[in-house]
Amino acid sequence: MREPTYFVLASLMDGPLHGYAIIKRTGELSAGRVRLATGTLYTALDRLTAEGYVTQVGEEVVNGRTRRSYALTPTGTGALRAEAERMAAAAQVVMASDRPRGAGTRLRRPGEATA
Amino acid sequence: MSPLERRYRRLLRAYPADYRSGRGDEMLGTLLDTAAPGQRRPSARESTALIFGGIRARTAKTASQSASASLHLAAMLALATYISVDLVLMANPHLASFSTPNEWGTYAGLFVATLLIWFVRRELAALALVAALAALFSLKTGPPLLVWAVPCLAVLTALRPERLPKAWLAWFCLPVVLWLVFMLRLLNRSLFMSTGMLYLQLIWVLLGLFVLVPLIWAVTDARPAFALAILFAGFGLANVEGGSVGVTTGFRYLALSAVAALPLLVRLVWRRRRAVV
Repeated sequence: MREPTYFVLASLMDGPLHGYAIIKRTGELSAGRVRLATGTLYTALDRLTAEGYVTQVGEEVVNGRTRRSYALTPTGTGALRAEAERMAAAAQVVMASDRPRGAGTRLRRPGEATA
Repeated sequence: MSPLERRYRRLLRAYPADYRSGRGDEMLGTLLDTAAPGQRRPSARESTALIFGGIRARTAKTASQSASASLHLAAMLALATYISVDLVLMANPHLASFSTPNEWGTYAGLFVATLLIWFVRRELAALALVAALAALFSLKTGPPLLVWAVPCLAVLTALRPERLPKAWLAWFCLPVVLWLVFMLRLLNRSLFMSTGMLYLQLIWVLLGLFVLVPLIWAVTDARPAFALAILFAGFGLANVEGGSVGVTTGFRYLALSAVAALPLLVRLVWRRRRAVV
């Protein structure tokens, strides 16, 4: 799962949001690292809806324009949790290591004297 | 309507019309919500995302069709192109295949009727099929492939899985321009000089466009390029076996066919490799 997808799904964890709110929340959750363009967001929402990760839950008219809200489905929640666990396990490999950085054995170059 | 809204509306045209009617309003609202106060122009980043999003939406629309439906439409387009070019050649008195007005009129009439049905109404396709078969048995003349191509197109039209995109009509600009070039040469020979160089150059430019346009079009819809592949494969196979233009030209057509089929292969591979976003 790519980072923008991960944060779009994560932005919907606390409840349904509409497009603009998803863009804002994604920026907050990623500490400004993921800045979604509107075109990118809707491409992502199309894909995630087709995959069954996200569903449209509401529709209202604001300033004469349709505004739809999107929510995580149980499949989406499962995929988000699985991805979070995968990343946590990957981070654990590095974080749990008590060896100082660079202290591991390294291959000797040909002709290099042994200590 | 503010200048920014007008510009966003223009950019949203990158998306297919049916997508815009469902999502356009909502996207426009989000675009205007995310705009900075006093902003008059869309940012380069937003514009690029909208253009690529539009291309993706168009690609997804055609990619969702089954392989058999795509092949069906591509075969129809290949046949229609062959017939339209052949009709133009038949109308040129400088070529051996020049036919009588009756012959030409029958084929042209049937072809136009089939095209109209293709783009307009499915139910009438059966009538075109009957007329095409009647013409086949009554005329028994004309270029050998054309005699079969018109009824084949009528059969495929009658069985067609869906209505064709209207943009495909642009494909038939080539035969029309070819016809205009022929007529121009007939009416004003001095324009093309005694060597006929300008005339040949024009024909090559037209053929180049005929190959290039479907290849560029393949970014959103690979079916016209696939139709071109079918067309060239047909010419190639007919001539490799000793047709009118020779074996070498036959192999060149086969090579062109492989080039035209490439976008479809690239898209098949790309679809398999594509991530969730």
